[in-house]
Amino acid sequence: MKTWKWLATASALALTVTISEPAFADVSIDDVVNDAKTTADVVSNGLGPQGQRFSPLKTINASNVANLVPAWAMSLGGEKMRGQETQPLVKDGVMYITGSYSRAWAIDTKTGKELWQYDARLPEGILPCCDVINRGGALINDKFIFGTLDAKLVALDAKTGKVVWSKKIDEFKDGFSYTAAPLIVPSKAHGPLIINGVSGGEFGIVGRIEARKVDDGEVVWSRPTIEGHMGMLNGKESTMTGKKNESWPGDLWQTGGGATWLGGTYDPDTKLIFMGTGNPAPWNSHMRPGDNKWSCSRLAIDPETGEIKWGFQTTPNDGWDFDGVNEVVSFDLNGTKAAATADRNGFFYILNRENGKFINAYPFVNKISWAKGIDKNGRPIYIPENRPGDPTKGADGKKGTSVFAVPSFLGGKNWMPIAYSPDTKLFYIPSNEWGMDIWNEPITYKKGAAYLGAGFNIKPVFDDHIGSLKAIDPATGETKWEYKNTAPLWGGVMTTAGGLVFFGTPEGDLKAMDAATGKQLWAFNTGSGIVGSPITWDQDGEQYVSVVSGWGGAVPLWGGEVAKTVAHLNQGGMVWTFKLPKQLAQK
Amino acid sequence: MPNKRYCWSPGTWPWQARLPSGGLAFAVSCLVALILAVSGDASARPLDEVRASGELRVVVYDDNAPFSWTDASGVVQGVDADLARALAGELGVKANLIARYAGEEVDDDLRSNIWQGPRTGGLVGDVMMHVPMERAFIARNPLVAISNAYYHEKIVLAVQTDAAVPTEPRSMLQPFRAAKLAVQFATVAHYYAMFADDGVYKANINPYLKFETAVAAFRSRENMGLLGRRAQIEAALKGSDGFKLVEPAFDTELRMAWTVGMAVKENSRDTGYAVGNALNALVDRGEVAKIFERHGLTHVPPPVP
Repeated sequence: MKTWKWLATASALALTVTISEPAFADVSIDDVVNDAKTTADVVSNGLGPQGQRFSPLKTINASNVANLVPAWAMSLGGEKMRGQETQPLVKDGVMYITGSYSRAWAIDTKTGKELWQYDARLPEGILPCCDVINRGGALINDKFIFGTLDAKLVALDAKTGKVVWSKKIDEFKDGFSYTAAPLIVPSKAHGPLIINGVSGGEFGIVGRIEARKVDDGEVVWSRPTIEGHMGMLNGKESTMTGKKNESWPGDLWQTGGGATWLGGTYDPDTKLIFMGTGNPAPWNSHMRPGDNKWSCSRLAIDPETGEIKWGFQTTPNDGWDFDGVNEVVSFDLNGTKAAATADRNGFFYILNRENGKFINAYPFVNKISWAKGIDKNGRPIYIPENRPGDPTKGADGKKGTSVFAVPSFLGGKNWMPIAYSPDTKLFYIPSNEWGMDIWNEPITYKKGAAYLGAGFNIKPVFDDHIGSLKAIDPATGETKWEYKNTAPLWGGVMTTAGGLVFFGTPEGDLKAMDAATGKQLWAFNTGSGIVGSPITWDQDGEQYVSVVSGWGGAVPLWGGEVAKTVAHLNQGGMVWTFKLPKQLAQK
Repeated sequence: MPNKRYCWSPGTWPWQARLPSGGLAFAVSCLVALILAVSGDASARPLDEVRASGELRVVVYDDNAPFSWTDASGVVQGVDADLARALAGELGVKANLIARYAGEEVDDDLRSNIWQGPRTGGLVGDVMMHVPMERAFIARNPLVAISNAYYHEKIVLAVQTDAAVPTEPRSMLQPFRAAKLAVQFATVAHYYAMFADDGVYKANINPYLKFETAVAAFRSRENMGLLGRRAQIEAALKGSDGFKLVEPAFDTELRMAWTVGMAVKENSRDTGYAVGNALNALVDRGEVAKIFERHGLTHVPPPVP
């Protein structure tokens, strides 16, 4: 009798699943371009190509969010429990996520049931520098596209998870990998394009941005980030980036760095791709006097040709490892087509996104030691004595002068994306208050041989917290509210028309704050640290919120005093999805 | 009794001794080494396990010619590979050579190859070859024991035979006030050349991302000189004439020469002692010098402490 009852329940459940089997609809380029306005799907990284991470949904709002409960959770399984920095995508009842170790899943959004899983076969002995994370995929047509730790771009059939094509971005043996979410942009000349950068790579490689065809992954254009290097378009040389030697001494432009490891955003209004570039090489800034363009910069690129429309350099002649890769978010500033970006270097920049002209910059961390401020042209006003010294001039000759620089090289803000609410007209910036002792180090060893390096020791600025989520007015730079977190924040932020700000903490909480006041309205502990970015969508009249939990990323790889705030955190790997109980959703 | 020169234990070089007398530290650690070797201290992958398994797992760098690389047929070649095979032979076991790519720094490699294992899965080695021996480096890697020095690497200068180079070692770079000098990017050679003698050579330094490219740009006479590691230069230019090697004196605290040794896991020191004894035997029989010669290199023994 009991068995019979159980069987009946089971088959009824199976029937339900079959009936609601997801539709697997194709994703058009219009779906991607209009993603910010459509609430039933999330088909771009950033909840819209501009990267505002704002949802117009308000079913879940400040008055009822306290009632949010889990709808389902799904484990990423295996022994591969490491940093989950992905942002889920949702289309017609199917959620697509990526996970640590270059894995991807399709999940039924109603039940949390796994529809397929893809595990990239990684070569033995790959050595990704900064944990085995992945920051998400892209949906276009019938494909789900993401990058792997061995520096490949893989297009999977969204229905089956089977590989349609796989293209090598670069040679993993030379240290290349790929962890960013690819960007999908429209173009008149080539149709929808996949935009990717490069991650990692031997010290001294030159960063580049590539556009690829959706059908076969072939490169349409390529744009190097360092001046003096030639771009490519349709298999032929196109134009040179900048002018050779304009801001680099000698031949150092050839090995200039500027890796594009964090992907980009796209503004349908100005039809521009915005991409950030990493630090210049070599470490020691005394070896490369000059601005070293376009390292530590934001570039605006024409998707039709790969030409640079404008560039803005946040840290010229970088000496602190302040990568300029952080995302550029388009927004309207009292009628001006503006863009904002919160840099590693601790300043929050507001630019005119049509021409890259500097509008203003404000500190978004409490202490900045390397520059007094930003001048009217957008250039840092350096404090020369706070630049790490040249080891050949050091008093003991063994290492250059050590300086305490704030922020640390992990940045006032690292990779974790900011959010903007057109309702409150505030940016929500997940930042970290930490500094570093930094010195240029003539003795580090690579492959058994002496090389040049830099020595770092990261230290918190305050006794009680490192993480700091700030609501900042882009018109005035005023911090409207601040939430302080013991451990460093490492996950993305989302805001909604329901007057809410969602974000996760390494301690494991997904939190909802009042977007206007910063008051905490809800929190749920997911069991492992959150370093991914939340999303929201609606389906059958209900609003859902999802985040992937799983502690890892670069923070636990660094020792020092910061390690104390995260040493006790447990690994994990779980997709959590929340909604309001039906009877409470109306309130 | 092993040759004292190679008695295995960290802290035996005068410049890394922590006791007041380097001589005393040296003697005590040799004694400890001997006792441990006799008593067969049990630990993670100690000598008896290595012997029982019939193989010594040795990690070498892939793509690190002339010391180690994987050839087209998948065989690991090079000085480090041959030396590892000879050492295993002395221990009466087979060498299982694992060629791995290099991480950002050797500290990362020690984690992947000796004390923790690769993040993406795979075995740790009993021994890792080609580990630099330098006080600060050893001190910041307490989970491994580094010793068994077998080579002394030095930055040397190759010049075209017809180049006029002063004989005074401190003046050997003077010609590069006017002539071009090839270096590998971001190496100590690059760094030194950029800043030496108040930067007078700066404009003539050509840095190349890959060492092989620097060599090609030297062979083509695009550069009159090539400044770099002795082993790399000797291997790259072996059999060719038209160049000569000289040893400039460097006026710097930069590390322009360093000793190369091996690492074992901190709790498997007895494996290290046994390998040390094997190394001494091979050195005494002239086998190590022969291995270097076979690859076109001069065996420069580590300095005697």
